[in-house]
Parts: sequence; C-alpha cells; structure tokens
Amino acid sequence: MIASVRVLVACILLFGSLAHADKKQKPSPRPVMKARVVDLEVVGESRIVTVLLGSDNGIGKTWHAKFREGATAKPLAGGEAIVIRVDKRSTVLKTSLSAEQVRANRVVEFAP
Amino acid sequence: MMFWRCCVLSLVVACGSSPKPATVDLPKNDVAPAQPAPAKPVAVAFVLEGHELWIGNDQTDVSEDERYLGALKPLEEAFAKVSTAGLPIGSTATVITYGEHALVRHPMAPIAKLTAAAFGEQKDYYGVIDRDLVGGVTLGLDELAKVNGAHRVLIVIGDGTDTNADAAKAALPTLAKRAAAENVQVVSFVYKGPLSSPGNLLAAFDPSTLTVNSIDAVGNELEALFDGFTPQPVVARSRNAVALALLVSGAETWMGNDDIELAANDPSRYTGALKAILAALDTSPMTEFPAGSQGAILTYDDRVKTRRRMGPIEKIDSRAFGDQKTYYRTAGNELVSGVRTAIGQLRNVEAGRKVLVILGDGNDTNNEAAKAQLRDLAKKASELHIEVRAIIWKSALSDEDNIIHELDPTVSTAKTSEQLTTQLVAVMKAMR
Repeated sequence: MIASVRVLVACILLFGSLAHADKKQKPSPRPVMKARVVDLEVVGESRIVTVLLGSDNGIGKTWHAKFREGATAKPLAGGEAIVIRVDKRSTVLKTSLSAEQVRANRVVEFAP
Repeated sequence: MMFWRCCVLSLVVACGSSPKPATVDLPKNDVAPAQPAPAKPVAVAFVLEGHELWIGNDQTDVSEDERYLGALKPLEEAFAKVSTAGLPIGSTATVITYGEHALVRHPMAPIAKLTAAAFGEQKDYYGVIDRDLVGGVTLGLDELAKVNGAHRVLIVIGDGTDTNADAAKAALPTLAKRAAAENVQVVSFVYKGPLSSPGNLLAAFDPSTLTVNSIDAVGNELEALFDGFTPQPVVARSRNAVALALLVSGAETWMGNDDIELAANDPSRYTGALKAILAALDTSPMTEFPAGSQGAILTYDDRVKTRRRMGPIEKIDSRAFGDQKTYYRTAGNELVSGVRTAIGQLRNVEAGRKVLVILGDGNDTNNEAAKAQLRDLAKKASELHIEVRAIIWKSALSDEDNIIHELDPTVSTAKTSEQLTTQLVAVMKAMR
C-alpha cells in the first residue's frame, strides 16, 4: 500500500515536471530607473553628463544607461551612455550625443 | 597670490582715480590736510554662475534625493549686508548670469537700486545644466563698455569652470587682454558647488582669482572692495595719526569651529581664538584714535588675505572679521608672508605712528627658514619705524615652538582666551 502511494506521488511529480519542461521561465521585470541630467561638459568629442541618481539609489558601475527621447519613455536612437563614475547621489556618464541632443533629451534610464 | 592681487587691485584703482588736488604744504601745527578721495563713479558688472546645482534648488519642488543648498541663498544674504551707500554719486551696477547662454538679469542702473533680489530665485535657474563662463565674462565686458566716465569693475562669481573647458582656456586670456585694454578692474571668486568639477579656468582670465570656502567670504571681500571706492570724508589728519595692520592667523583650528555644525563630541571641534578677538573689539571699539588714523585686517593661513583694506580705523570691528565659517577648512601658517604683506601695506600709508599687531601661534609653516626671514623683516620694520606687537595664543593643535620672538623680542603669550582678549585690548589702548 505504502509502495503504491510512493509510486503515485513520483508519477505526479514526474508528470508535473514534464508538463513545465518546455515552457520558458518568465523573466522577472528588470528594475529600470530614470534620472535627470543636471550637468554637461564638452570634453573633446565626448559629452560628459551628470545625472542625479547614484549608489544610494542602487546604481552600480556595470549598469546600462540610455537617454530617453525628450519627455517620453522611448529610448533615444544612439542614446547609449557609458557609466564612468558612480557617486552616492550622482552618476557621471559619457555619451557621443551632441551637446544640443543632451540639452533636448534630459532623462536617462538605467538598467542593471 | 594675495600680495599680487593687492598690488594689481591697488594699481588699477590708482589708475582709475580722478586726479588728486595739488599737494598742499603741511601747516606748522600738528594737523595735516587729508587727501580727498576720488569721486569718480563706479560701474559694476556682477557676473554670476547660473547652474542649477551651484545656485541651489532646495527651495524648489525637487525630490529629497535631488536637493542641494547651493550658493544663491547665502550670496543674497551676504550681499544684503554689503553697503553700497557710500559709493560715489552716479555709481551703477548690472547683474549678468551665465548658464547655457549669458543674459542680463538686471540692467545697468543706479547701484542703490540693486538689491539681493536682483540675483533672482532658485526657480529661475532650475534645469540649467551649462556654465557658459566665457559668454558671461564677454557680456559683462560688453555691458561695462557702454558706460563712460566711470571706474569699471567686473566681478565674476562661480565655480571657475565652463561647459567647454578647452574652448574657455583659449578664450579667457583674450578676454583678460580686452579687460585690461578697456581699463576694467577684474575681481573674481571661485566657490565650488556640490557637483563642481575641480580646476579653475577663471585663473586664465584673472590670475588673482580668490578661491573661497564660504560665500560669506565673498561678502567680506565685496565690502572691502566697495569701501575702497567710498570717498573718504576730508578729515584733518593729525600728525599723530596711527596706521594699524592687524595680522591674525586665519587657520580654522586657530580661529575655532565650534559654532559650525560639528557634533559636540567631534574630536575636530575647537573653540579657537576668534571669539576672544571679537570680544576685544566689542569691549574696546577702535574709536578715540587721533584724527585720520587708519587700520587694515590681514589673515594668514596657507596664503595671506586682506580682510579689510587700509581705511578708517573705526571700521576695524568685529563684523570685519566675519564668523567661524569664514575660516572653515583653512589651514597653514604662512606667518612670514603675512608679515611681509602687512609691512608693505604700512609702508604705503602716511601716519605719525605705524603699528603691526600680530595674533597667532607664533609659528610659521617652515620655522627653520622663517627665523632668518623674520630677522630681516624686523630690520625692515625698524627702518620704516613700524612698531611690532605680537601676542601668542596656542590652539589645541599648535606646535609648542615659537619663532615670532625673532620679529618681536617682547612678544607676550596669552594662556587663555580671556587673556588674549585682555592683552589685545591693552595693546589697542596703548596705541591711542
């Protein structure tokens, strides 16, 4: 009797695992954070931009940064930026956008 | 640096002065006529950085994470204390700010109409991410160029950087030449904001630019600057008139920092000597000196600063010293440079009696080299008939050594701050 119950439980577990085997794991939502541009410096061909979000907010040096288009949530074409320094309350980025483009698109979103 | 600043400022002021009257022979009694001060109006262009974080945004609707105090509020408070009432009739001022572009915020108008409100409010600067320093300086010179018949002064206040540093490095020396060619006196202050980059491009425009740790220091400097333009009343100068140079250590730990926001048990919290000095000046105001007596205040830390230029001795008061914030984050002990500058200032003053009073811990940053230098300065003081009176007060961090006796063999030591007050009052009384 006990042996047949064990076989039954094993079958249920096996069936359950097979049923979910070829279903993709639903990815957990990546935390996206947005920050305001507060400083702009022109250094050679690059623009150095400071935004008000830093390690206190969980930003890390390996995070990816991307400018948004104006006030929208759409990513700006060519708006990728490299994180070059993360301070407590601010992060410094390097971008190849022009100064005019930075002035027109002042929100940067971060993702890990 | 301060020495050269004083030289340059003095030279420019002298160049901009109206002609002095012909020399009058001194009368045979003990009173000499004083030189009337120049009455040429002054045209001032304030050129102020307009970057959001430098200005500050704590009074706007930003979130707590984005909140920064900035310079505007303390600058307006400091400016409100600066008197322009004594400036020559016809003096004018304009306010220019620079962000993405430079703009005239307050057009050139009688300086009496200029209030702190002319600098605007924090919300006016919200979202400004640029610093067009070159544009600000250019517009300042343009506005001054429109004024004729006045002594022109350009006052630049910012963090000393520009959005485009490379372009600014190339442009600012050219603007410096333009300022010189147009007889514009340049005074500039660098005050670093919360996210300011290091470096000081303003030095390429004004080699004498003064870096300050507090905006109060800008207020003190402006007051001293405007004092210099204020026509002095024509008072008969007694042959016994005194010229005093009060040279005081300006290092934070010597002046004290216990009024600044440091925890009561913070090991870097010191009471210091400033309060004792202010108590002396409050107890015994600098009055009842012979007519025409003058005084100046200088401090020394890692550089020498003229806190109050040589002027009526009555103006040597507790306010002229500022508060502990004025000396916050200063360090160093350039005693020899301080003495040299003070003697230089006394040499250029006409007075029956010249006195150099030194308050400090009796040491120099480099005591070995300073000994011989102070001996030479003692000789120079003697040749110029300058009396030297030194008082030593040791701070908690002062070295026990003492080399000031090379300059003043009769130096006295105050063991407590009360003694410092008493001894300073006694020295001042003996000068009257």
